[in-house]
Amino acid sequence: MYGLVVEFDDPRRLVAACAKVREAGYRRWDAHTPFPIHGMDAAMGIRGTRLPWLVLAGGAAGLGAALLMIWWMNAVDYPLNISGKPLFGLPAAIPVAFEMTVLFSAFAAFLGMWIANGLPRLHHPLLQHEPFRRATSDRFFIVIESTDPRFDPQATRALLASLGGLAVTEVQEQIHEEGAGR
Amino acid sequence: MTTANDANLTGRGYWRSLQELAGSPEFRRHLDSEFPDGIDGPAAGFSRRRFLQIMAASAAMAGLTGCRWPQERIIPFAARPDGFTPGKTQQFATALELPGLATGAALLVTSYDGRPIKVDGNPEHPWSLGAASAQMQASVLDVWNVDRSRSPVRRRDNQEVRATWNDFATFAAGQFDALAERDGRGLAFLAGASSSPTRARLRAQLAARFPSALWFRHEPAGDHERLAGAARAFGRSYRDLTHVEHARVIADFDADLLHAHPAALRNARMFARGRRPARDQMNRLYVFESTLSPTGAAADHRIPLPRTQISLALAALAVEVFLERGVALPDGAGISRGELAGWRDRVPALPAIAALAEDLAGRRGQGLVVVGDRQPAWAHHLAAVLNVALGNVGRTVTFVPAAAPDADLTALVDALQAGRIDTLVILDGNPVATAPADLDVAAALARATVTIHLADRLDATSERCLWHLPRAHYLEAWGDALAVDGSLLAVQPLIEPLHGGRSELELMALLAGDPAPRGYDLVRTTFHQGAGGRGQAPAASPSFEANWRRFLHDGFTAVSAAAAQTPALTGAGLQLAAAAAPNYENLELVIAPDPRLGDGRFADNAWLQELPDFATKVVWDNVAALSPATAAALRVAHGDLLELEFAGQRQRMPAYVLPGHGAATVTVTLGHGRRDCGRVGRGVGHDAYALRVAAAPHGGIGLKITKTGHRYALSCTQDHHAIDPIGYQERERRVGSLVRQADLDHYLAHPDFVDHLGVHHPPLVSLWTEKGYTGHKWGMAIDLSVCIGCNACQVACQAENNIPVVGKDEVGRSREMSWIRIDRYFQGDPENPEIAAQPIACAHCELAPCEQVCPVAATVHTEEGLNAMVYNRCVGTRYCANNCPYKVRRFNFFDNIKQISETEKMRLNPQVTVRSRGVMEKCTYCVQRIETARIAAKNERRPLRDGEITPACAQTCPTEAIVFGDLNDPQSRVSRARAEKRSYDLLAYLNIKPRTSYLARIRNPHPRLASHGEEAGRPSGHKQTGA
Amino acid sequence: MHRAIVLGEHDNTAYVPGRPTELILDGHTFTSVTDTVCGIVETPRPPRAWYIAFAVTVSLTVMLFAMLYLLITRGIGVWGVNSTVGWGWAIVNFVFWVGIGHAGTLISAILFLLRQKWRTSINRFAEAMTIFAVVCAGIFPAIHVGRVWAVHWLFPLPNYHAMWPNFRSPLLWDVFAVGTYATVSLLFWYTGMVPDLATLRDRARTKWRQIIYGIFAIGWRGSHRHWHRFEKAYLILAGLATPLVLSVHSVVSFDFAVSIIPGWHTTIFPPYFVAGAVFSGFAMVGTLLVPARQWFGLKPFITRHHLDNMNKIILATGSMVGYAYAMEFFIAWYGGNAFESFAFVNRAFGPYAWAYWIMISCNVISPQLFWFKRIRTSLPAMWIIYIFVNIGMWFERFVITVTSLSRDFLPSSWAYYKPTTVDILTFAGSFGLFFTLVLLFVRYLPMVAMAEVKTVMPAASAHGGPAHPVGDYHGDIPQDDLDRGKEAH
Repeated sequence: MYGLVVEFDDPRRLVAACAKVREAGYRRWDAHTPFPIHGMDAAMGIRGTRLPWLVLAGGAAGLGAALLMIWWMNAVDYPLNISGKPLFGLPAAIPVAFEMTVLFSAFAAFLGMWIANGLPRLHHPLLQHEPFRRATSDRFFIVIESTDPRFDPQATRALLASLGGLAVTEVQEQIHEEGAGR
Repeated sequence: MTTANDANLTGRGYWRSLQELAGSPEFRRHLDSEFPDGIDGPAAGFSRRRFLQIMAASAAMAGLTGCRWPQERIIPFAARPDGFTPGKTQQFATALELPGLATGAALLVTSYDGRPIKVDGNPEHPWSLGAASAQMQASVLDVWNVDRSRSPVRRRDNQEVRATWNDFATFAAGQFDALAERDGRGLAFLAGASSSPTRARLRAQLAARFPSALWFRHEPAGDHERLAGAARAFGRSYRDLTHVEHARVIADFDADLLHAHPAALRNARMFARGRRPARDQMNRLYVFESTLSPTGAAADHRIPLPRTQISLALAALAVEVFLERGVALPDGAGISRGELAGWRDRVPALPAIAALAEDLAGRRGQGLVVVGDRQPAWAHHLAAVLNVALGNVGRTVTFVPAAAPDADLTALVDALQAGRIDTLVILDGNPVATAPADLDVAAALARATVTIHLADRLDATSERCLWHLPRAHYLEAWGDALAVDGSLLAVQPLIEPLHGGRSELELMALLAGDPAPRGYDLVRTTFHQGAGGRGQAPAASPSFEANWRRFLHDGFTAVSAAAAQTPALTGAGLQLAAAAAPNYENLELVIAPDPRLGDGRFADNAWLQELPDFATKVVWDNVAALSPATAAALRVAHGDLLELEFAGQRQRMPAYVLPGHGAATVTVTLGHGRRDCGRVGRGVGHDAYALRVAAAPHGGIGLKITKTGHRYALSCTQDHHAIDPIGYQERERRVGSLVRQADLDHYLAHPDFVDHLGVHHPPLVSLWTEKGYTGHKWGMAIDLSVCIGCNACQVACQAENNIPVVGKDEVGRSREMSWIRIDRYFQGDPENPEIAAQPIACAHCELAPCEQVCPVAATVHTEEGLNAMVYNRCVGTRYCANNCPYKVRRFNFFDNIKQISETEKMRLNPQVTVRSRGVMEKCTYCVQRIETARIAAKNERRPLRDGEITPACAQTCPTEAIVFGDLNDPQSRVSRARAEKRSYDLLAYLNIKPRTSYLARIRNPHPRLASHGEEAGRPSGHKQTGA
Repeated sequence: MHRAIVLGEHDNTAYVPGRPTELILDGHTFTSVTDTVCGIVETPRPPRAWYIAFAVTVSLTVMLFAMLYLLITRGIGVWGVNSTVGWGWAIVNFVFWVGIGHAGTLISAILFLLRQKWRTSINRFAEAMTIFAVVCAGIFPAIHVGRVWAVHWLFPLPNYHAMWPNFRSPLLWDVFAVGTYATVSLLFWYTGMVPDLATLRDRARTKWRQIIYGIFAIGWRGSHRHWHRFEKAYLILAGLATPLVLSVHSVVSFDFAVSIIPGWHTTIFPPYFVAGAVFSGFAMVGTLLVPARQWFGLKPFITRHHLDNMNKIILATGSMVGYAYAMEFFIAWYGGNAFESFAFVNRAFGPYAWAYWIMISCNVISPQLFWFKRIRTSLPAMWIIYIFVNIGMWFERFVITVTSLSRDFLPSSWAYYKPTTVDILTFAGSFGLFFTLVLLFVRYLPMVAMAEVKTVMPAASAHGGPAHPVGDYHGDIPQDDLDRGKEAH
């Protein structure tokens, strides 16, 4: 068994429920919603991501790479007298440097986010769970994984049932074990 | 070439061995690979590899010289006589007979591995001085033309049957022996004008063999009037020889002294040398002409007149000189003061005439009066009288005896119609196409039983002759000619006739009874009897051999002073033939040979077809030019297709409204609209011969114009589209700062006037420390005072740099490829504007705007500051061309080189890369010549000398207007030119630091007339007595 | 609640003090939003109109490629360009399409940063349009060079010349700017689309749809821990895209501004080009949205309020462009450079005056009509004005590129540029390509960003009350919604 799932049809109830689950002291659990619901971070106690620092690093790398490339190519490796201008002039290098800064930052943000989310991952126990199909449309779920230290089939089911969801169901195990979705 | 100069082998022995070699299959393959059947049109897929193959093939050919080489020994000019390095160009001296003028021009032809690729003037010869006209330079292209006839053709019941020279020889033997029997009765020859002594000698031989044979001469654009006038003045026909270097006041009456004149090359050079802008050192040029010529553009005073009125202007001058200025009538003037007085009311009153008379009378022996070939004989007579009276004869003008012209085409036609001729030999020309329209030559030819035509193409005349014989190009045949000063010129072949053609001389000798005539022997014999041998020394003698070698090496033998004569006037009566001035109801037609195509013999020359006309800038066409006022009066618009009717003849032509054209006059040019030439010129333009009548070969009064209602698309390289008022005003406003000019007085008063004519701008500063140039720093200076816009530089550049021809449509889309162009601007009164010519090519700017915008660094600066174009790096964004303020960059919109036939590719200059499609190109300052000179200097372990490097344009410039050299050498000519006060940079305010600078144009008008043509950018006040 | 009815359609353009505008109408719920948007993609047969349109655009695209074949085999000569006017329609089209490509990212990024919630209904569509416009734009710089087979030398790649590109050339800046812009726009677009792709995956009825959408959804399952990073990344991308949008057209304008040609050499170009780009971009979005919302029943999502806002932006940017035109003239006169001032006099009264006045009437005059609310809110009126703006902006680029070149410094080389049939058909073909891509998009991808739309729906507010940052709408979830929820079990 992968874990227990409770389904909601109203974001407000979900937020309240999340707070309760957190208070119960669970670690390996998650909420699944068709759209980001504000106030959830607090309810679930999610700490801020370090993604921005990664992006900053990417941008710096792009800037450095651009200036180095231009300087090396035009002033060092193949210097040419073009319009009698200096071999390397910062003003002429700015546009390319700027674009490459943006490009590298964007890649850092894009790849960093997916990797941190453990995606792509095409199979996941939840994706096999029939009711869960509506998690991307109009239903809201809380999942508590069986690998959670405090997980106890009866107690946990009771807790979930008490949250005022529509139904509590069991999600079956998959071959892949390690808990994605953190 | 190697062995041709190898003294160990006699030519003949060598030749035989080559005959065998030539028979071998490999050789045939070479032959095919080098000359595929020209009739296959533009070559199919042409790749760089293919080009290399051809080059390889032709390099191999160089080894087996004889097959393409004259077996006789000809001496390389300025190259080691023994041995020859493949890939090293060689130069040979030869000469070209100027169309219709019976005058030779000394040339120097560059040959690459046995292929003539470029024609220049012979720098040693005093009357060409290294310069060559556009026509002379373009003549090299005709050798390689694929439409030349390839074998004799015999006509049997209107079937053209290919024959061989042997067939003709057998035929001729029978035919002409029979004629000799009856002293040549019924035999006639028709020939063009020629100065060749050998031809004269052979003609004598023919006369000896056929005593009663008739001889006729046909030249569509000849100098009959000049000869007739001289004959009247001096009792026999002379050609006047101008010595412009001594002339301070030049009066040009429709003579186009600097461009179309037999001595134009030297005249232009000497005129230019006489233009140093300093007090009392500048000559003054008055030009009276109907249409716009380079000479007119260069004039200090240009007076546009109808052609028929020009001779009257000359008469007016005579009246002024003899009656007002008190110049004594010379002995044998043939006219009295009284008679002259009678002229007064019949001649036009022109302010310029008074000024001119004053100048001429004030400078006895330093004046020069010349009259053009299209003026009547009496005008030439009068000019001679004036020159004698003013003491110019012997100083600024001498005379060279000339053969009196023979009976003309009209006489021939009469004789034919009268049935007095059964055998006609046409040695030259194309009478059927070039005869006056009212002369039915075709019908007349039909009256003769045997007609033989020697011509380079199967033209309209050949089609009506029994025999067509292929004519050898002058670069393929031996011959000789007399230069304008009477010096003997060698015409020596650079290549064996490609299509088995023979020269006029060889044909004459054949008919004179020599079974196997060889041009070499014919010329050598003449030389022996004349200049070279002085008759005495036997042909074998070393002195003769030395003379002969020197003759071939130099290309000429200097003329003895005796040749220039100063004959006395005979006193023949001088009659003024007054013609009524034309008016808008009764227009005047002027028929002139085309400045590019001549009388049509260059119609098949793509370079000349695409060369913009000096005045109209029209390419691939001819026009009916008329002045703006005339056009307005007739309600004719630029580009209307007109129907011209003159003396019962009709022809359609497009109208071109040309500022400064003679009033109520329409000029059309001959040589276009040929139906009977090769693919290049066929049907291009409109045939003006259709308007010509024998009575008035140069046109006359009585032209009627009707509008057809159609428009005609002309392709011009400038002012291509009818310009709107805004553009017109702006152009007027800008010209002054682009072409800066001033009167001499103004210049002397304000030597720095150029600085006040440009765009006013803050001091130009650089944002960075600019790169200095140690070592060489190439630059160019162009003197607008002496540029006459003759177009020679443009053809020179085309030949040197393998610049493709793109055709009328592409030029119509503003896609011409020429690297150097001559901008022509009109300023002021449209009826008599000032005309400025400005050659423009890449200026190799030090801060080149083109370079920084190229994304792939395909155009960069070299260590010596050349703006180099790297063809194989170029991807063709065309950004550089957009950013070029002079618009001198040229883009290959199509694969232009593909259009050239494999044969013509043999002419390409192997030292210059051929550009592929999608690549930008432009002037390189002839970098290949810079490198060649550098290598030569290096081998001799010496520094480069100033003047050692001359770009093609500078080399051929008749007026030395273009100077090239090292700007880091303060003594170089270009540095000195730049140091002059009148030196300025075009669009300097852009701070692009062009390496090509211009010298402002200084004019020397007569102080009393100086007000003429004062307009924007031409400040002229401060009237003082100039000159 | 106050509801005015216009053309039988709810008009939410009225501003009622104290009551925020509703952005999603007709009482849509999460379920109905999903059903409506996915429905368009899931329907087995799109409307006949789609097929007809697709046939037309595809044939135009085929023609485009035929023209490119002709161009590449024959040479640049098949176009009207000449030695004086080296750049013709190819560059005009390039700038035109790049300009259009700006609205998408602008709507998405800038409006996102400005918390303009109304963007959620149109940003997906606009972003898609950006990508397609940039694709069209990208063709022209590549093919306008004389030797297409060597165009890779514009990139800093090792090649047999052992040479590198010249980084001083604005064309090279273009390569980087447009390249970056295309890439980032694509990342931005795709990132935002992943949750909706997951929705399609989960609703998929056929195996193929499941697999294909599954792959592109990369296993998204709406985990809130994912949403947390997702929103951060999206915010950052928006933050990056915003200066990028401004930089791209600035760089494009450098192609002209950095040269020395009178009429090109102008410092006002960067802001002027950016304003023009936004202007034309919004016009093109509108041109596509007005019919699309009609055909695909998206009126509740893309409401009059949205269109009204877009029209206001068009009015604003249109006025900026007009100001730029005026300022160009002023500076040309004030600068006192004769060549410069002639360039502009020549524009307005020279041989190309016709083009200039088309530009003025389309770009400066027509958008001013948007001052009138009746026009701003009338579908036919606004659509006609969109078309005018599209035409006008194309002519702006034509006027800048061609008139300046045709008469620069030396009167001797002045020339007149005329396009050839090939020019015209190539341009037409590029529209074919653009609309082909648009049609494929509306057929196979979610046209409206469902997840984002849901966040601005009343039901999305986690706990009702004015304090909350998201929900504008005070009220209860309609009863039927809850019922529908129950029926699910």
